[in-house]
Amino acid sequence: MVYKIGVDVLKLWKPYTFPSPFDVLGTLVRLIGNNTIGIAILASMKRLFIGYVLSLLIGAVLGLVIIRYKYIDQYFTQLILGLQTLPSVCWLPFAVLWYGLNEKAIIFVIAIGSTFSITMAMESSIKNIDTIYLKAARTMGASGLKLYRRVIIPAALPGIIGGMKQGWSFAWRGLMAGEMLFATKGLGQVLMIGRDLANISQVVAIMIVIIVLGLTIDHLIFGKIQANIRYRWGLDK
Amino acid sequence: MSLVIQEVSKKFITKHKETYTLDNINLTFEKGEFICLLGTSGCGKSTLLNIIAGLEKPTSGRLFLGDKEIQGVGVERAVMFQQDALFPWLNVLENVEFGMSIAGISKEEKRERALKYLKMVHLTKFQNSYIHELSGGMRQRVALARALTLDSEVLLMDEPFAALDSQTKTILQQELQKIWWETKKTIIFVTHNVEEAVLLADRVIVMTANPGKVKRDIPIQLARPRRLESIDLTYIAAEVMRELKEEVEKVAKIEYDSDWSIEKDTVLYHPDSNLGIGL
Repeated sequence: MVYKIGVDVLKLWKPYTFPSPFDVLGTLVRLIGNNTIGIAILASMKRLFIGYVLSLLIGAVLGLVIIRYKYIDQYFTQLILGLQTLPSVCWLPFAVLWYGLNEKAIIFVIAIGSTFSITMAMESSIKNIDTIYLKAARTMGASGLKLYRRVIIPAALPGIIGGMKQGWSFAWRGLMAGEMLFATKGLGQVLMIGRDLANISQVVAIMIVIIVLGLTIDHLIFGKIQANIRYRWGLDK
Repeated sequence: MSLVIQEVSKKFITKHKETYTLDNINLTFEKGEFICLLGTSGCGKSTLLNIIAGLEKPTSGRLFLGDKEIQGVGVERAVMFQQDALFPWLNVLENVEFGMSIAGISKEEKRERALKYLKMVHLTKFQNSYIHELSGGMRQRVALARALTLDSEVLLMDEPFAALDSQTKTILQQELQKIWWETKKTIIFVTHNVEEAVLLADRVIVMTANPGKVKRDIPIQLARPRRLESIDLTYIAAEVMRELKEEVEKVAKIEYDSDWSIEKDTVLYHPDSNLGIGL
């Protein structure tokens, strides 16, 4: 409707800047038909998965180190907060310099984009644990690693999951930035081809695929985990 | 093994002044005694309990359990807090088993002991529930079961029933008496409620605020099981209350406007108008 009025009747937009929904649908079917999308999704997902798992590991370790050593906390938390506000695209030149125009550079950008939000979530949710849990655990003999594994981490889990979710969306952005610049396969690359060929309906089709994928994963994985944890922890009434 | 508190002081230094939360406390608790630490808010009774638990360090002085000096927390001193402090990520049974898991006790024995203590607090029906599904009273029972599982020498209780409604509180007080009778633990129970102290304790330690000192050590020689509504208990509670009254007034004077006086607002027992209570 908006399209009809905007493009055909009022001539506000030109057809090549604003594709008709039917064209987009047609392109989508074509891209699925010749398996371009399937291959692109698989390639993108592989990168995303590797980059994200890396960022989880690094982010978690960094978060724990910050919690453990007050000294680091004082000097580095601000720095990490600053780094978190830096969009992951800004790391691209660095990545290219270090790794060249290849897979590793994209994975680096993905990982760096989500690491810091996971670190910050880890740090803040552990800091905000109700001290009564720690007191109770200590009087029952828990200390050191056991205290971390059995009390601190579970108590902070709702916050950590929130950070993981945020990290995931940052990872997506990093992935797109990387792929649009120099990937040979992947969603971002298909989108850029659309741009290069002035095929706006392909661009929109990929955008839709990205949104649907993002929503699905968010809903199926993080939504389920979060709902489960919130129920168990008694946070939902 | 008796618990000995030797010249324990705790000083808090703030910007404006130094306050003695605890000033030279000397106490000895015998094995199996039920002790209530009674006092107005800010008299340091919770601080003293935390020091016994090892959660806080005294500024000076030493504590001994038997012949061992208390340094830091230890499983021989179980603690129950005003909040239940149960872990929401574990179910009831796992919560009760927590201390035993840390101690590395085998799975079967853990289960057996956890169920034994859950039975003692009458909650076996809810062993697989999550914590948020329980009422406040049930949570405190789970916390009590959890505190009992480690077979600790001493059970420290920091106003455990203060946040409960009065009916639940009455039931739990009765049950605590029974459990103390069955397990013969040394229990140190912090409260600001005079009736509760007299109902439960063998000895009531009345504490004063600013600085925190022991004002009187009152043995309660009433037969057990005791009931809140018994006349004897009310009589002794009134006597203890008289000890505390001065303290209540002192604390209130600091907090309220200067024109406030306890006499105008009181119906407390007074020695000159005893209404024949001692006849």
